Amino acid sequence: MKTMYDFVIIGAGPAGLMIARELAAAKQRVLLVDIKKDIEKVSRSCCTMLINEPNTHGETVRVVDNNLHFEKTGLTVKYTGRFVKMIKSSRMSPGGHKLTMVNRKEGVALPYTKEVILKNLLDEAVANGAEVVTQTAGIRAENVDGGVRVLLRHARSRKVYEVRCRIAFAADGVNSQIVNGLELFKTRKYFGSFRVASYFLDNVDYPYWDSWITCVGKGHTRYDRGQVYMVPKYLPDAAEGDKPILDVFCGTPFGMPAQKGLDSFLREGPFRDWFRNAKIVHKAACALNFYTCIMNPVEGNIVVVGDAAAFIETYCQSAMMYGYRAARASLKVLETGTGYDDYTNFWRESFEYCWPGEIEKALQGFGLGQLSDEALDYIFSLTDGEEYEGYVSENTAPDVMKKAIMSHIDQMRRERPEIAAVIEKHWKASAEDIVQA
Amino acid sequence: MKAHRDICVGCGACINLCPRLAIRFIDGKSFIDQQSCIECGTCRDACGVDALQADCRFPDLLLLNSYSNPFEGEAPAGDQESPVKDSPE
Repeated sequence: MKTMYDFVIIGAGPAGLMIARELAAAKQRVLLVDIKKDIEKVSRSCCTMLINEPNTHGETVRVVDNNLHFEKTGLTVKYTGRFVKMIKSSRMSPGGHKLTMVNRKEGVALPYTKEVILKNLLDEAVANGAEVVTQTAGIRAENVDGGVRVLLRHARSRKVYEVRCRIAFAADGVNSQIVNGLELFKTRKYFGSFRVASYFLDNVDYPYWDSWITCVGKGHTRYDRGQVYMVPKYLPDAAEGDKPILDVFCGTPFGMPAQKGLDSFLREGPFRDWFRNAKIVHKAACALNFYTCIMNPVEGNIVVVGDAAAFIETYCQSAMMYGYRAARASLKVLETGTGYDDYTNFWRESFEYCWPGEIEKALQGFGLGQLSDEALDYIFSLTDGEEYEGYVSENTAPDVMKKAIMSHIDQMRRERPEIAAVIEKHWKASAEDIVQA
Repeated sequence: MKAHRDICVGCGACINLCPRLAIRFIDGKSFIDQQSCIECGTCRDACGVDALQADCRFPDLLLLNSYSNPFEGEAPAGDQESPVKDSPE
């Protein structure tokens, strides 16, 4: 490791790797650091789906020749793994009633294997000449005369190193340590902290291999809170003819047992029969601190990219896209002295959570789980058997759900006026109310 | 705190939360430096798979003796050479 670079990138996720690939291809001196030993290994819970809905985060991503093609950015990312075509997305109550969104033609989302994406990007970055240092975390970046001073800590020895660069990228994810040390961190508003545990299960006796399932309600686990999600996906080493595995994950507020919730769902939940012979092939977990988006994700010559600047997440695909845009913008800055506006304006205009009201909307979809199980069973019994057009997306699915449920509001008012009143009040709740409930 | 390395899945959630920088990440799993850990439990709250558990190295209750001052008789802070030195690097 040298002490002076053109660019230092902290975090080798989809955003960081994309930046490294682009800048190394432009023959810049690039240092990419990550705390992990094996960069492509994924041990953080992640849905890893291609959100194929047009205009997600201002971009439409399609599968072209098995690769990911970003139509507006004009970017293609090599993918050599397999996709699952999910045509349904269902919210399921503890009684097994469903609200289902469908897209038979294109799928509601296409789960893919993140490890394959990361490995391909890493190989390309290294082939282009990027220097990659593993087992090293970024702990601080500060603007100094002529560039940025970055402090790095070795994960094994905890020894602290200093490197300097002209531009630094904070791509270290949702709990970004670099962002914590910046002035712009003070502009963020805190919502809450969640933790997640997930199992990859093989040998599951499961009827919904074409669906994304969100288990809504308290009765799915014995712990009352949290939500369970299920998504089929392929393992990185899946061969032709192999069946997908089921990624089941449980998210709970901090201090609540995510893994115990997951175990409880699998062993004693209403759908335990599916998992009687299941075998765990991989475990993952993560902790998430929810803050509002950074509206201006550049401070001096430190550029914040991907989840590090976002409310919850940008999806893998958009992390790559924003990484690409940030890399292009910073190359322009080196050449002309200006150019960050290209990136920051695009970020503000395209990332939905930067817009007013979007966080409330997404949380309303999530907050439905706070209703009583009996109410949820009743509501979803009205939508059972119906199909609504939609996608798996935090930004648009809540709207579809709202319309689906509200289309039955007259019947609800007649049969169960108390539930109708609760539902009508629910759509008016603020983000704080939902997080605190 | 102790990290049970057979339970830890290596998500890294605890590492940057530790106020004492006590957590190392060795071979993709957390390892807690027992000399730095103050048993505050921050990492335990973040762990999704309950790999971090209290080690009970401290007694449950620390009795505070507010009458004696162990530093009595020492020179005032201003007269001492600063104990904080810049690292040789």
